[in-house]
Amino acid sequence: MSGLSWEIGASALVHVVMFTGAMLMRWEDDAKPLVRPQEVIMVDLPGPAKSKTAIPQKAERTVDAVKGAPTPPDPTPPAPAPPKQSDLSFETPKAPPTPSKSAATAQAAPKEDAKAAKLREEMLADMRRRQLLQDMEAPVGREDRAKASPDGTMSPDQAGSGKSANPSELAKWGAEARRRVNPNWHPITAICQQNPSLTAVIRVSVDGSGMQKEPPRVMESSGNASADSWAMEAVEATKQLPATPGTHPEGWVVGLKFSCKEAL
Amino acid sequence: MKNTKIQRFLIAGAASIGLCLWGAALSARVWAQGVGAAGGDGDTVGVIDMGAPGKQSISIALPLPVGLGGSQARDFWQVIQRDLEMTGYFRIVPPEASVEAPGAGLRPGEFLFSDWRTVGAMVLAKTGLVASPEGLRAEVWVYDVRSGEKLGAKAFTAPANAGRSAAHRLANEIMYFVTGKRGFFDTKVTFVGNFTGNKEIYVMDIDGYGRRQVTKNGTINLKPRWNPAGTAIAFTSYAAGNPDLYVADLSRGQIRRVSSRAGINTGGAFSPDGSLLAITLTVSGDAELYLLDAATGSQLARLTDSPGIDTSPTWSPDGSRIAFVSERGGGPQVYVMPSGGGPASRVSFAGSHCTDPAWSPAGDRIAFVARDGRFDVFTVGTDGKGAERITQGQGDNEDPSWSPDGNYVLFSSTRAGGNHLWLSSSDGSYQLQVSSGGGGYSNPHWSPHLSW
Repeated sequence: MSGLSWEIGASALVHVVMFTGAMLMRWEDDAKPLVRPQEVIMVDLPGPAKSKTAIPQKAERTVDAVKGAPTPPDPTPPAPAPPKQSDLSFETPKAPPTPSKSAATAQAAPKEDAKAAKLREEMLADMRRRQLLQDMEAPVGREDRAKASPDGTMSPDQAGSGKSANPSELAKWGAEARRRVNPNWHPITAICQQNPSLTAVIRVSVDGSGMQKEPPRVMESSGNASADSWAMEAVEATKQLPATPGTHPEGWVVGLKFSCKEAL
Repeated sequence: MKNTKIQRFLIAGAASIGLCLWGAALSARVWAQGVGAAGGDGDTVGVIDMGAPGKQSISIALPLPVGLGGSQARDFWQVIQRDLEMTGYFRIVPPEASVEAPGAGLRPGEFLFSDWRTVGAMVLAKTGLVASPEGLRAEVWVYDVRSGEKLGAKAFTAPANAGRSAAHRLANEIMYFVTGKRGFFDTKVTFVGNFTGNKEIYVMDIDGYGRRQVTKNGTINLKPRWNPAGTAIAFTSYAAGNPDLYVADLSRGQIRRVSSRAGINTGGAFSPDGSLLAITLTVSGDAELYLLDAATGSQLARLTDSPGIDTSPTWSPDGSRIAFVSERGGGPQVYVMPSGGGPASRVSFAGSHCTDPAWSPAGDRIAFVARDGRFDVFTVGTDGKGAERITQGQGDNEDPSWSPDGNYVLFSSTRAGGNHLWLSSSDGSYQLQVSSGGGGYSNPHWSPHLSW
């Protein structure tokens, strides 16, 4: 039996190593989001002016100003809010160090090599921190950042590689879809007031004529059954969505994002 | 022996490779399942932000009240139904559509939400009405049908003869629980009614019911205006033969004459704090605006001094400005000036004949009437910009008055034959007849929220 011990030990070791490798591969994949943002061209359209047909949603009356103080006839827009501070504190990102002469000649020396590796790690960590901070400061991530662009459309660089849909075509289609779908979207305002961040994304698959090829379904749940239902019902009640552009005669699949904050 | 060892090693190696392949296959399968669970949404070409919703339209189930039966419960239910429908926010699921078993209660666990999902209700408002030694006890429980969560609940008592008032209060609670905004169902309207051959002042609930007569002098009574507390109404009356200004104290049931100066005493409008009355007098020979002490009627200031008529004052909510009608530029137009008098700027440019200004509660707009063949209601910014039409091609529409929240405008209209009161959303998209019968309604003025 003792003769077998090293073979069994070696085999067990190989098993353990290989199995661990396989599991690590799996976990690494699981850690990635199932719907990868970089696979989706995120287009954020500027919100329309309040519908002329909508019941007016004017702000609740506020207490009148002190008597004698004139009411500004044309209130100026509020000053932009100061940048939101993250709850977490990060080190102030350091400027990327410029390659120095010693760094350029460091390849030969193992000590300097380690230094360069450390420097690279720090730079990467800084980049990750900055990206994380940026994501945390944007309330809904890349969509809101896209709003900052002049036409509300995310550039291909911002959007990642993704599918081939012309952002301007998608924006035009989205504006028409909004015109048709939104009259059927009826959120309960009191629930939205309690939780304005409720946002549901409904996946819609249409053919070239705008007919829905398959039933819509929740692509990203708001976490609230009612908010998901309002969004689903809005899409279901819209019999005909806009035809897709000539570059997509076969139709396409889009996500329609319904945000509770828009109902307030 | 060596061969045996090599064979054993090869077997063990093969086994390890097999195990490795099995692990990789397992890993791949689990990963594939993860993508499948997401539904393959990677085929999406984009995500579109849908922006603001359209006109709010909530389907609400409003079963008949639990408790008292018969006509009393039906009347109570009809008041609530009418209130909710007036807003334009709600679509009422008729009680007849209910599949709920008799005897179901109001509280969670006493009924099934599935019964209300099947009839398409988004919101369920369950009410209860019982007679108690104190009078009526009304109760309301409001639920989000999808989630089964309670949006709110409230109970209160009312005198036995105050069923309408209790129903209005209950409707207000439903409105608040669903929209987060206060309803206007606890308000009333004062108006001139010509039902007896004379123009008298009346008050009725904002839903068009519960009409009560304020004046019975058998002459002409005009232009009633609420005080900010909703306890008194200023109006002009020919009761003494001259158009004098009176104030009816509704809490005491008394009417007193406030101004009986020679000539016209008309258009009395209370300041936002109720202490002043802006009024048109002709003591100088020309119709000019003055400020009176609301309690004593003594003259405090003359506000205008221009050729032609200055009349129909309306205060800005903060009391700093007054809008009024003036002929200083030729035809009647709406102008705005400081409430202490001073330079006035014209704000109406919608036609050659603009009258009846009413300042919005938010202070940002002024409703008025312009003649473009017929009389129509418009609103405009206080700087004269952004005029919007409320009515068009529907008879003559006059005397606009804002709801306390500024979301609606009430006015008189001849569109249905006779003069009736109509309610409109402030953008004109939704309009509803408020008064009923044969007509004879004019000069409406919407009350503030009332506690009586």
